[in-house]
Amino acid sequence: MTDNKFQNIIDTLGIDTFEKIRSAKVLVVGAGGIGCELLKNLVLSGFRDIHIIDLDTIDLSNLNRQFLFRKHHIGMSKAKIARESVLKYCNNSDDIKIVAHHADIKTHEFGPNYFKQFNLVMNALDNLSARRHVNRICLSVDIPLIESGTAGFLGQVSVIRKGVTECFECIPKVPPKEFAVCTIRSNPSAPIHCIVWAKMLFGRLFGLADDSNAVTDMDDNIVEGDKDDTDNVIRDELLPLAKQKSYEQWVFHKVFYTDIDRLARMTELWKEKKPPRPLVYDELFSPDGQQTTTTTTTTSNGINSSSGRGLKDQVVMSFQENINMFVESIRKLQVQNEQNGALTWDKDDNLALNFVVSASNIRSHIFNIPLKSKFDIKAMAGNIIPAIATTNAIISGLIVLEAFKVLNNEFDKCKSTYLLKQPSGKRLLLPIDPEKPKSDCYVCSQNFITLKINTKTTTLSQLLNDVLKKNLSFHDPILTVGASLLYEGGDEDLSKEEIEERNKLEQKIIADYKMPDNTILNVEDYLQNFKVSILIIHCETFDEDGKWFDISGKQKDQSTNNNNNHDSNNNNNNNTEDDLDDLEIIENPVDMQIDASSDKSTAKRKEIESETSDSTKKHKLNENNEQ
Amino acid sequence: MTDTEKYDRQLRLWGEEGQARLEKSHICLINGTATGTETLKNLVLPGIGGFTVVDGNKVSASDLGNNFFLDKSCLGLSRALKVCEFLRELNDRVKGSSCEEDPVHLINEKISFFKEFDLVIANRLPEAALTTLSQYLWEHNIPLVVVVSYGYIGYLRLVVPEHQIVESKPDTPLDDLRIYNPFKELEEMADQLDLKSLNSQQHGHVPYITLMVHLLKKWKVDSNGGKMPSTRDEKESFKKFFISNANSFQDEENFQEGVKGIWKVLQPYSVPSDIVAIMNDPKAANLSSTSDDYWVMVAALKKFHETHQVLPLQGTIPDITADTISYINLQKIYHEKASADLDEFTSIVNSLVSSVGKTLIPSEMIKKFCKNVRFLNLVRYRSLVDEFTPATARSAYMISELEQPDSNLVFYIVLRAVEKFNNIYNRYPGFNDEEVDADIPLLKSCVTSLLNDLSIPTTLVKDDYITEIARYGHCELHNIASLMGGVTSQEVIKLITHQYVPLDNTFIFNGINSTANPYKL
Repeated sequence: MTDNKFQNIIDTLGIDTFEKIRSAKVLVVGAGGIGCELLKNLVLSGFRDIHIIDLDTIDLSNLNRQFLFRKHHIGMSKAKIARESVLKYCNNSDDIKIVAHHADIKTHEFGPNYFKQFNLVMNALDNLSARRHVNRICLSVDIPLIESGTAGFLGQVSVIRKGVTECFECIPKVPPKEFAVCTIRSNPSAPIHCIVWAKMLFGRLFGLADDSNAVTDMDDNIVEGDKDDTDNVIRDELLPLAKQKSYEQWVFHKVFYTDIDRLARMTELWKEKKPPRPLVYDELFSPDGQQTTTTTTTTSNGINSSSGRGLKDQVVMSFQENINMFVESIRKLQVQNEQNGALTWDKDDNLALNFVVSASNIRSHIFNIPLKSKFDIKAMAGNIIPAIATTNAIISGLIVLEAFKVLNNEFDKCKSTYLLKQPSGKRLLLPIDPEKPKSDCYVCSQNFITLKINTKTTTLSQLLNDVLKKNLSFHDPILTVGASLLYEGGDEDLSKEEIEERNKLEQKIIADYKMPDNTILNVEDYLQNFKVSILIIHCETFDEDGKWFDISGKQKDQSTNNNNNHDSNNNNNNNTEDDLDDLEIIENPVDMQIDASSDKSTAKRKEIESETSDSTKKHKLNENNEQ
Repeated sequence: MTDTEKYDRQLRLWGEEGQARLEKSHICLINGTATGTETLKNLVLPGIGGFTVVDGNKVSASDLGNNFFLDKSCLGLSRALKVCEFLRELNDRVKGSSCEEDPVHLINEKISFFKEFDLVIANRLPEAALTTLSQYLWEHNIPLVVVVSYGYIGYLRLVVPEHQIVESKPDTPLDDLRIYNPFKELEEMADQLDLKSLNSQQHGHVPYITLMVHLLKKWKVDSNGGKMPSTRDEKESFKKFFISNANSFQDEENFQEGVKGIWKVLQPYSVPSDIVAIMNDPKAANLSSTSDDYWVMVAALKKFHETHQVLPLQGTIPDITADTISYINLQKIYHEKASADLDEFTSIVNSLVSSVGKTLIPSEMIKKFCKNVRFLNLVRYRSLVDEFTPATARSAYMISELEQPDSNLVFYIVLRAVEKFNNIYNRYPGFNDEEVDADIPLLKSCVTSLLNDLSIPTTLVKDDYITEIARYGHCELHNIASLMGGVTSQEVIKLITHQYVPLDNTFIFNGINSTANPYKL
């Protein structure tokens, strides 16, 4: 009987499709929520040659949905355990080949040549940069890609085929909401500002050395004046004393006294609000380490209720509790730091989270901002997207249905499908025909971008890291202007001197390094097999606080180029952030919305835009979502 | 604490209260098919209290082909037992049990067995047994969820006499700001505003709410004979007036925020019609000691509304441009007003409770109700008996749906005909490969007879669909089973947590073209 295990599939799909399934070689990128479901569905649908890749390890908070993992797997490779579990459950395991890679897809091992061996790639990713990376490689080697994502009850599946459908980057993603440095450092007015600050402080104290992290300089004790003006400088003489006492006292004194005292003296900042109040360590703790005072706190409205499991994290801790937690977490983190070297912040590491919770709350207290619960801070600091088994199951089922069509080469039948939270406009699933490739897409169509930036202040390092890597998701860019090579990355074959030379180069101002106003810069990434020309336009003022560059996929002359009626009336999307405020996402953006109120014929994916009419209801769907 | 960590990503959707409801629930699954197992899998993972699998079948080869959790070693053993064993592995907090009796026998002989459950998921039950079970559960107010995957097609039906929702969690809830009809404290605050006395920094940081209340009052007194702007011209004229009060509209974000939402603000305050319908429900008018807390609170809401012509204030304001002090002050008056409304509402609830002789409703519950009062929801499903009985079936509606090109409702008709077929021949059409062709006309006659019973023109169901379904031969594809398991468990979670609005009442999934439609049958 096991011979006709797939008889049902042959009966329903037909023998031709089934044969294609049996001979297909497919790649699943990501072994998380969607990845687990997808792997199971593929194997039970007859697929037998599957590669799966994930760099992540299993965490306790995965177990509510990633059903291939158990408690005893925590800390192990997701890809490897997913493979093991599927083979264990599956009946003809000797007939099935699953190759698991515990690795980062964005490495040279998995370049275009690796991708070429597959008939189909399926993304089950949780972040924008990997999605873009896979999108570019699939386009370059012309392999069909099925892209998917879930966020809470919402989900989405779409097929990407070079020249046939729009690609993942045809619709620009809204850039991450970034806060102006001065808001974070000097003038916070909302809890999120203090949370961002606390994460930066974590990096400063326990992370890798990073010159761009200007949150505080631990030995700088100037509270008024300029260090070059030796006569008028006022220093906080208590800081060196605190440093002698203990590490935690030093940190506490520095960030909650010295830095605050300096800010409080800048009277022009505090004309309309209460100035921040520096905290004195010794007043909060008696010499034997016991707390001596209790201070009243501003708490956020109303969450102080009833008992229940886990509720502890949802209650806003008192100011004193935050102080204690801060000191304790610094002590422990310092030990970890000494033992393990530089730490990276992880929302699921309780100690790291405690540090950010307490540090941000103490700072909020100082600036008269409401304190937040650990539960809320975790969501804001960790950019947490809710995730459940049900949505992943639905989306994975849809992916496999699209996979059948792709293998049959039926791209005309492929759909982009959106899963809605509740039946809205009479439907729970919203299938729409994929859009055509956008003629102005810099990835799949014209390979041209206009970048407005201050060429007289921006360094090559900023251009590389913040613009090319962070914003445009290049992995390893090579920069040329005309025939001259300006920059090449990679560490493998370089001598120490050459690396130093390059570091020096990175500090150059771009206008002084062959990239003044009106330069066409060519950027190429071999790993992504991707090349783009960037027109650099010098620009000194930007319309939003904190913004220092602007990218558009369109040519300089927009009016002639923009014959696409899809978004012709909302080029002006400067106000987009108003609609996104409630999400307070720090690292990665909301980048897709579904207009659920429109009916069948007009329903289509929309670019994010400011809300223009009052009846339009939008579903927000985060791309930075389930694996 | 580890549970909170394990459940962290879902707690952010339904909170502690939703989780507590899930953990209290005991769910029954009839038949451990691939669809049934996948449905339960998605409920065991997030941590329901317990489950019971009722299944008289032994594990067969076709189960191994489509049920991920069953392997060769299970062949010939009780499917209820094996499915239960594997599901229990997924979450040690969930209690699982199995019952190896034939569910049809159980329904006919010992139906009280089902009384203990909080929800029953029925899969592949013959129509007669399903009808009996649904009537029993209906009488006991236990939700029934019917799910089938059949080849490329999925079918889901929810049946609950009355489902009450306090937290419907709409996607983009409108703020309850009362700019159009300000409460006393808000109006007083706005009256004190003297724009001319402010410096430019202050001027650009007056919260737009205060600005709007202040300027609306000024405009209507000075320019409109004390009347609110109602015509389009009046609204435009107010808008101009509003903008003219800015020092520099381009630079003052508070004025820009005001203009952005101006059309919404100028709508007269009204209670949403579905909330009015709930308040006017006879159940709210006829309270007794056995009334649900929900209806007591609805009755209290009605009284509150009769007195004030408004609902209790929600009391939160959005993040808007403002200086800290004005913002905090504004927040405070909304908060205080909401607290006062809650106190009054609570005392109405308490007096109703004591007048009908019920036990007190916990203050937390009253608070939650009051906070969500604008989003209350109520779903009354149609019973399966009403749907199955020709005299009460919604034939006209079905005809209009079937007349649409490529209507997925056609699969509903054919699947019901399949059950008719099974009833007559005691097997499913196309079950044996050799009989597919022979079964097609037999299935067609079942379709015809069903359509005749329902007074639906037989031309509305094309033969292609009948052939397609016969070709599926009653099989379950894992992929469709998994997808339907996802849809079903999602709706079950909505029913159990009483959060979000569940589907009403039928869902058909068509895997051929990945479309799906809800129907109200």
